[in-house]
This record gives sequence, structure tokens and C-alpha cells, in this order.
Amino acid sequence: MKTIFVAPFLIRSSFRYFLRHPWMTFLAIFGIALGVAVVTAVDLANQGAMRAMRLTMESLSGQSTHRLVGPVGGMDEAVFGQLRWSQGVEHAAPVVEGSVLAVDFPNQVLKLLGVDLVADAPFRPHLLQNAEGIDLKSLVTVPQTAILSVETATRFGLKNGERLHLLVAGKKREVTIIGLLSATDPLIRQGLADTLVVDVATAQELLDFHGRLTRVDLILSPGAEKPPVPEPLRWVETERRTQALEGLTQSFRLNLSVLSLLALLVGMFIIFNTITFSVVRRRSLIGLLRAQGVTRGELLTQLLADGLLLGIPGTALGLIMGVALGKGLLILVVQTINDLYFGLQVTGLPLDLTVMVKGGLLGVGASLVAAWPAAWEAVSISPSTALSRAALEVSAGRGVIRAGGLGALMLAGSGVIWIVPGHNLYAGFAVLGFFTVGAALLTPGLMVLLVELSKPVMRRYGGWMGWLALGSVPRNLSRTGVAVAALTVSVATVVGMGILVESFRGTVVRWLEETVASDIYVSTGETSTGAGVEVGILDPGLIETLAKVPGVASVGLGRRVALETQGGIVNLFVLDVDWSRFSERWFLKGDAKDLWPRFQKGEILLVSESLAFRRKLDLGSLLEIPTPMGIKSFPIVGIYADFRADTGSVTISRAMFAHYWGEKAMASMGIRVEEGVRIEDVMDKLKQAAGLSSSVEIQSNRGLRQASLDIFDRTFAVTRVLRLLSVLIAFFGIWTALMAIQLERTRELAVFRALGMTHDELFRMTLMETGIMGIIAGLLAMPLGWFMGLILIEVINYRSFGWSLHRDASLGMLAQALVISVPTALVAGAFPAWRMARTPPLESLRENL
Amino acid sequence: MRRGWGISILAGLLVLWLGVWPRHAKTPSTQNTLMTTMLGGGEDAGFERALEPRPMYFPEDHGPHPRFKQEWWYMTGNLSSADDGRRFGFELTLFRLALTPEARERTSHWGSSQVQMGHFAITDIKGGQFHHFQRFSRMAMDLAGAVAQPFRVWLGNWSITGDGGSPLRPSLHLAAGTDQIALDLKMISLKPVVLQGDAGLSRKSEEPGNASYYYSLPRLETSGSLTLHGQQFSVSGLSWFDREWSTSALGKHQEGWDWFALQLSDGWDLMFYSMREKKGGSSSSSAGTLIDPQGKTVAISNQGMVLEPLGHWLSPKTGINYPSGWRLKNVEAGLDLEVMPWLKDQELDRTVVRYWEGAVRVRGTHDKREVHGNGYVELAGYRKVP
Repeated sequence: MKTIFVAPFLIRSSFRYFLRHPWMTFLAIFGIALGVAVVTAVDLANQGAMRAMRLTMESLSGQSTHRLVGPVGGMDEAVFGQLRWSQGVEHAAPVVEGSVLAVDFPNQVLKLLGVDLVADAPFRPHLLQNAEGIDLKSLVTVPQTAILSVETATRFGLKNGERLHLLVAGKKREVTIIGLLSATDPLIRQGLADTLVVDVATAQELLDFHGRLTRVDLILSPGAEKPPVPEPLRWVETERRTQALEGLTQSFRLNLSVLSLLALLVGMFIIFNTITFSVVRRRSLIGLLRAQGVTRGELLTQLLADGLLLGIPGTALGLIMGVALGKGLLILVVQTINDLYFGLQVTGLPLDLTVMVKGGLLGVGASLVAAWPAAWEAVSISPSTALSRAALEVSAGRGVIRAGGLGALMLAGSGVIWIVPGHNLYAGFAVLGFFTVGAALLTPGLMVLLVELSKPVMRRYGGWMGWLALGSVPRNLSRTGVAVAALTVSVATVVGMGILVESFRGTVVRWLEETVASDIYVSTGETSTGAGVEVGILDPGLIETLAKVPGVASVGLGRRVALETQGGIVNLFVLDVDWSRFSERWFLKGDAKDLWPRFQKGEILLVSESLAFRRKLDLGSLLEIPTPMGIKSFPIVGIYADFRADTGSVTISRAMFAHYWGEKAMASMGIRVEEGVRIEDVMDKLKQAAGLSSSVEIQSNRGLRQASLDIFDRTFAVTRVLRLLSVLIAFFGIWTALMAIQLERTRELAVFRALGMTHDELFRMTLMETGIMGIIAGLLAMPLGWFMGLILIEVINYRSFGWSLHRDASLGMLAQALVISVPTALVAGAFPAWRMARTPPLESLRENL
Repeated sequence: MRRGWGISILAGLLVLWLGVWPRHAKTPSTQNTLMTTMLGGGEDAGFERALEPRPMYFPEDHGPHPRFKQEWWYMTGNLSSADDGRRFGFELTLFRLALTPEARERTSHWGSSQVQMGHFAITDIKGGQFHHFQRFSRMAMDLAGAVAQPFRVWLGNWSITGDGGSPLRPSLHLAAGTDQIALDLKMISLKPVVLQGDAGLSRKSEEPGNASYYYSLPRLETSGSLTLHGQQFSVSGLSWFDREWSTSALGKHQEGWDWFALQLSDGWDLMFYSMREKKGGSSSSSAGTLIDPQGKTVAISNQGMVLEPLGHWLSPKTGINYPSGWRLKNVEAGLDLEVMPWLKDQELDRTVVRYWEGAVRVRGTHDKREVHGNGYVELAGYRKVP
């Protein structure tokens, strides 16, 4: 490259060229814009999705990380002051809890929840949902005031301002209802059911609990040491209701990043196609210039400069389009969020500088990079060869083979990385990247192959026009090859994304249904995590009483113990269940039927997939766990799915617990209700049976399950937007690329017209050609998309979390590829065909010298 | 061709890397929303109001006045490190906020009708960082409180405590900290208590009762230590202590105020607040006090005070456009000063009330002699202009 400065006449020539072909120039700029837009829009939508997820998580009650619990009589309230501002304590809130009897409603037990609103906001954000109309000042300052959820008030026929008569430990009390909370979130509504929310002072006064607190809820800084507390107080790590969801959130976040990465790939392909096309179609001009003495260096510089000439306005347009598109689609999502959450400012989505810079770099950078190979090819051959279109197509044919070879190599490389086991996420990305690029490189070859294969069919049924149309696809390989590859990748991405999202949701649904199988969940409300600690244990007499309540079909018992092992804390689940429930554990490895008797007898233990993944365990490995009888090692015979955010879990039977831990007490009860019986009725009966004697929490799991699903659906609404976005972009990408190809063929088509082809025939042939390309792209995108989905699930998600998502790749999802590509291709062909049909052939012939 | 592909792939990988780079965003604070719901929209009925001058008693008036709706103990100062002269600004404010005028008899120790809010901020001028924190507590259970004798006001381990001196020239001890930052300062009053406004009655608008009782300790010699993210500095400088209690201050036509507390190198101090009218311009109730080195005061009225912004700073976090830098001129008082923020971003943006409170440096002339100095400026009631 001798010349750095471009001769002015060359610039003029390019400029004139672009001006003389306004449609082609517009399509080139638009193509680049689309590539940039998809990246920008997906990134912006991603931010929206993250925000939605965060808001959802925040709306869930109980944000605490730890609880400080005391003996049955409560703890000295002074502890709170000592603790509140200690190092590592981000937030702390005192809680006084108890049960009271509403005397006007026979035997109705209500939970009294005494909180300090001033300290409590981070813990129970739902208290502020619709708290606007509620006189919170009075709740704090006026004795004997309480608030209730709207649902509970309705159930009792209570109105705001009315009094409620209570019996607390045999003493008559009274509270005035000063506000009704209407929570829109089903989980929160459930949490507030049958609960009187009062100020902590009011709770002490009503319960005669002066000087004491039931517990302290805390949010400790990540990694902070727990402040020292006097005996017999204990730290309990909160088993958050949201815990299971939290692990999935992390994964969700990762998946959003992957989707944004895929969008980038698609964007790059679209730009690549556009620029390659713009260089390739000026090949004869390049040959002319070379013949007139323009040097290679000058031309190369000029072609790269042309890349910028198209790239810069394209990028600018793309950024604008991306922002408009991303924001426009997000408004839909934001509205739903706003409907659900009171008073949150979601509308102002700030423009992230990184997003814009990324889009800009991509647009300009990819334009330059994409211009290089085609430009290099065009200038490295002799001028006479450059002038010949036939030579180009021959060289393109050779290119197909070379590209195919490189593609196969990349696919192989991707396969090799896939096989190498490990936890490295970037290796996972490499698998995806190599696979996609490799597959794209193979596409032109496959396209030629598909055309060859379909020739007999076309000969028989397609008529001469079909024959011509089919033949034109490989004949114009220099144009169609890259375009079809780009289309395949973008359509495949839509399919892959779809498979990932559907699988993700499907997994959550199945997991929730199978693990939260009980209809009603009974616990003390305290989470016991240590063995040998009496707090949180259900009274055996109570278990028996509750099991006999009419309407209860079956009962399963459980207990969670935190085990300190060398590799960190592991949750030990002790189960006392019957066969039907055992078989529902979602086994990934091992056969439930074989395992059942040995599990029952306490001979074996089961581990969760995430534990197995983290500790590199498999069936047959030995797992050492500490027991009161010393460290014991057990062979692993079964692995089950678990999506909790913790470090993994081990499940043993009650018999084994009794043998090694010497304990039989259980902490929770899962109750299944008889067919046809209303859960609410059974819950009422259970509450009555439990009475005031013990403080137990009775929750409906069906509600919990439904609520969890609702939350997920809300979050997935955003991913649906993401997919819609990708479909839209793929649509426009196909449209732009195919239309450009057809417009360029104006002269060729004019020859057909001059040879006697009618308007109608020409129109149909053009449509057929683009249709064939659409079908090819759609067909190739099906397996490619399927594999992309597979990589996303099996490699990326598994590598980062050790989770197996259940793959849901429905035929409908795959068929989507054709549904997107074929109609789009037809629409894209329609305009040039229509234009051609209208223009007298002579004009077209003259126009395109 | 092959070279081209290599470049393409490299560029692709670079862009992919950018794509997976994590990004962070903030969530709205539920606590702020809840506190706004709880504290806002209250009635003034039943609370005492600042209607006319009243005798001030010390040390009694250093303590709380619970029959007024709000009250603050407001300490700001400019410090520099003994080792390398690195400059810092600090703010520690403890606000007492009454929910109701009368406290009810409660048997529980948690019963309270008063809430305390604390704001703590450190301006790290060299580091270009502004750190700020907010906390709340009910004034019960010794979690937070205020006592006149012996003087102490505290919110957990954030406190201002009497440390000798006389009732009119108290020495103070200030302590505040978070997990990452700790400030521990001793202060000696160089000037006695200054009653602001009309013998301590500071009128904020034409309507009677829209006023506060207001006194200051304008010049406190300060020394102590600052620990910032593990690095400890031995610091000294000057602080300014403001005490104000009221039930309502802003008139219907007002939207906020710009408040200046400047300490000049010739030993003079200036306090001036400009009450901003909603329709623009400053209210005639804007006023100030010029304090000579002995503590004698000269009242400054709005007339004759020229306060001209020299620039603006648009907060990227809240979108509020704050004035930034002023020319302050008063012919009568012989003042012609340029007031510039040490750091543009000293906005408390995560607090219940968003405001700008920051360390400033002063240059100019006083009585035709060159002076310089430091101070603090508060910009309250600014809103995002749509």
C-alpha cells in the first residue's frame, strides 16, 4: 500500500456511484443501521429486563439475610441498640410477633406482627405498597392501632376505622383498624393474610411483652463478620422465600448477557453482508479503474474509505433506531411494571454510554472489517478478471469450498471445547462463538448442496421458471452466499433464543410443580438450621393432631440442617415421606424405584446436581459429611435437580438422621389435601386445631406456587419483547439483503424481459428466487438454531451453574424459522419485482452499465 | 482473504467481550419512599411556631425543642490533612422530626413520636469523590436522642457531644462513621453563640410563623482524624455549627433556598440565605449576618446583596441543574467575593430530600483588602427541569 491519500477523482467516483444508485446506497446504510440497532435495542431491553427482575425481587417480602433469635421468652430489647450500628450491619429491624384470638370471629387466630416502620422499610417493602392513604404516623404514635390487608378485612367484614376485639393470653384487648393494605403482588398478599400489622411498641403492649423482642431481622454486608451476641441468642441465616428464585435470577442475568452477545453476532453478520455486497457489486468498476492505472493501494484505501462512508451514517442511524426500538418496546413492559408497583420511577431508562459506544464501535468497526476481504479480493486479481462477472462467480465458488473448510474446522474446534469439561464460562462463550461463525461459513456450501438436491424436484414440478430461479441462486454465489449465511444466523438466533427462554421457563414450572408439591406447608416460622437446637421444631403431638384434621390426604415431614463441611456450608434435607412423594423428586441420575427401599432404610444419601457439579461428584463417588458420630463417607447413588442459590444440598431419610444424629424431631410438614376439598377450608381447620398453644405458620403452597410462576411470567414478558425484537430485526435484515440482490439484478432481469418474458412471469420468477433463498435460510436455521439452543442450555448454563435446564424445543419453535424467513423473503422480492415489471426493459438495460 | 477473516474474528471477540461486560444500576430506595409517606403531608396544627423573638437560654437551647415540628444540629467544615495538605469537606446533620406535637404515654420503651434522621457526607477533594450516607431511627430506646445538659445529640454512633467550654462558647466532640469512613473531631469555639435574624428569630417569608429560631457557632477550631477507606488522615480546619428549629419555614410562593456560610481569612464570617421565589428571583425575606472577629454582628438584608451564579452543574444522577459558583457582592458590607465549589458534585442524591451541600472556596475583597477562605453552601428545593 504505497498511497495513503486517496486521489480526489476516486472519492468523486465513489460518491457519484452512491448517488447514482440511491436505492442500493440506502439499503446498504439501512443494513448497517439494522446491525447496530439490534445490538443497541437488545442491550437497552436487557437493562429493562434486569430492572424488572430487580423490582420483582425487591417486592418479595423478607429481604433479610440473617435473623437473630432468642429463647422462647424472647430476647432483651437492648440487644437491638447494641447491634444496630455495628460494623457489617447494613440494616436491622426489631420484630415482636405473637398470636392473638379475634373474639368476634369464633376461634379465629390472627398473627400479630409488630415492626418498627422507621427501621423496617428495607425488610418489608410491601408495607409501602399502597401505604399512601394510610396514616402511618398514627400507627407509630397512637397506641392500639393496626393495619390489615384488604383481603383479610373483607374476610372478616371489617372496615377501616372499626375496632377489633382480641383475646391475648386470656386478657381482653382492642385495636382500631386505621388502614387497609391492598397488595397487588400475590406473594405479598399471601404473606399478609390473617396478619395484624402494628407498631413494635403496640405489639409489646398488646402481648405484654415489655422489654423483649421476638427476633431481630438483619441485612448484613456481604462477607461481613456477624457481630458478637450474648448467649443464648443465635444467628440464623434466613431461608428466604425468594431463595430459589434468586439462583435463577443469577442465571437469568447471564442469559440476558448471552442474548445480547447473540444480537451482536447477528448485527455483525448483517453489516458484513451489506458491506461485502456493496464492494462485490462494484467489482467491474474496480476492474475499469485498475485498467486505467489506479494502483491497488489507492483502490484498497478507497474501498475501505467507502466502508466508512456507508458505515458512519449507518451507525448513526442505527443508534437512533436502536434507542427508539428498544425504548418503544420497553414501554410495553414498563407499563405492566408500573401497574404492579406503586410509585416506582421506571420510565426514565438512562441511556447507557457503554451501550452507545458498543453500538458505535460495532457499526464503524464491523463496516471496516467487513470491507477488507472483498476489497482485497477485488484488487488482488488482474483488472481483466475483475471486469468479468463470470470470473467472480468462479472465484466465489472456490471461496465457498475454502469457507466451508474453515467452517468445518471451527465447528470441530467448538466441539472440542465443548467436550473438555470445566466450569469456565468463557470456554462456553467460545463454543457458541466458534459454532455460530463456523456454521455461517458452511452455509454457502450447504446452500449449493440444497439447490443441487432440490433440482430433480424443481425440474419435475417447478416449470422452466422455477428451474431458472433455482439456478440463479448458486449462479450469483458472490451475492447470495453471504446474504443467506447472514439470514441463517439471524433466524437461527431467534430460534435459539426461543428454545433457551422456553426451556428456562419450562424448567421453572416443572421444578416448582414437582418440588412444591404439597398444598399446605406447616412450620414454626422459625427456621432451624442447626441439629440439636430445639427452636423451629414441630411438636410431635401437634404433627399427629394436624395429620388427623379432616381433608388432609397425606403428610410429609422435613427438616433442614446446615452442615459445615470443608467445601463450605451444605444444606442437609431430612425427609420423612411416602413413596409417592419420593418418586416425585426430580431425579437426573439414578432410578427412584431402585433407590427407594435403600433410602428408606437409611443406607444411602442423595445429592443435588449443583453439589455434584461443584464438588465434581458423580454416581459412585464418595461424599464425606460430618455427623455427630464423626465424619462419615457415603457413596452417591442418586442425583436430583435443585435450583436453589446455595452451594448444594444432600437429602437423607429420617431413619438415617436418627441413626447418625440421634434425633427424630422434624421442623416442617407438607400436607396434601384430599381431592375436591378446598385448601382454604382445610387451612382454617388446621389453624383451629393448632390453636394458640403453639405458634405455627400455616401457608398455602398452591398460592406460593402460583405466585412464583406469576413472578416468572412477568419477568419473561421482557424476554418475549427481546425475541420480538430479534424477529423484527431478522425480518428487516432479510428484507434488506434480498431486496438489494434483486435490485442489482435489474439489468439481468431486463435481458429476460427483452427476450420476451412477460411482466407477470418476471414478477413470479423474482418472487420464486427470493422465496428459495428464504426457504434455504429457514431450513438451515432450524438445525443451527436448535444447536444454538442446545449450547446455550448445555454448555453455558451448565458451566456457570451446574444446572440442567429441561430442553423444550418444540417443533413449532423450529418451524418459526421458516415462518420468519419465507414470507419475509417474498415481501422482499415483491418491490424489485414490481419495479422491474413497471420499467421498460430498455431503460433498465441502459441504466446499469 | 485469510488475513481478513483473522481480523474479523479478532474484532468480533473484542466486541463480544464488550457485550458481556457487567453493568450496574441503582434501585429506588424503599426507605426513602416510606419515610416520605410517613413524614410528609402532616398538619402543623398543635405544634408551636416561631412567631416572635424569645429569650434564648444556654445551655438549655442547645437541647431539643420537641414542640416544634423540626429541628437540626448542622455541622459543616473544611479540613486539611497535616501530612500533605489534602483537603476534605464534611457534613454531619442530625434532624429531629416530630410525628405529632404531643408524645403519648406508652408503657413500651419503643413508644415515640419523634424520629431522627442523620446525614453524613465527606468530600474528598483530591480524590474527586463525594460520599454520603443517611440513617433513620425513632428517638426511643437510646437509639437516637438529644439532651441539653450535658449536651449530646446522637443517632447511633453518629454524635455531637459537649466537651467543656462555656454555655456560650462550648467545645464539642463530633463522631461519625460507616463501615468505610470514620470521622472523629474535637472543636473549640473561637466565637460565642451568634443569634441569627431578629435576636434569634429568622424569618423565611412574609407570612408570620414561617420562621425559625436560629443560632450559630460560626467558627470552631477543629482537629482530629479522618479514616477514608482504610487510609487515616490527621486533619484540622474550621467548622460551622448551625442550630435551627421551626414548624414551617417556606412560604407558599417559595420553592427553596441557597444558603451560604463563609469563613474569611481576615477573621470575619458571613451567613446569608437567599429564599427563592417560585416565580423566580429571591424573596425579600432573604437575609444574613456578617460576624466580626470578636463575634459582633451586622445584619445583612436582601437589598444590596448581589448574588450572581457564575455557572451551572447538571447532576447526571438526578438531572437537576444546580447553580455552581457565585459572585457575591454587597457594597454596604464591603464584600466582593467569588464563591466556587471545591467539587462540582456534592449532591446528596440518595436521601429523602435531594439537595446539594458542599464545601466551597472563597476569593475576593472585604473592605478593599484581599481575602480568601472556605465555607459551605446548601442548595435546597431545586427540581429537575423537564
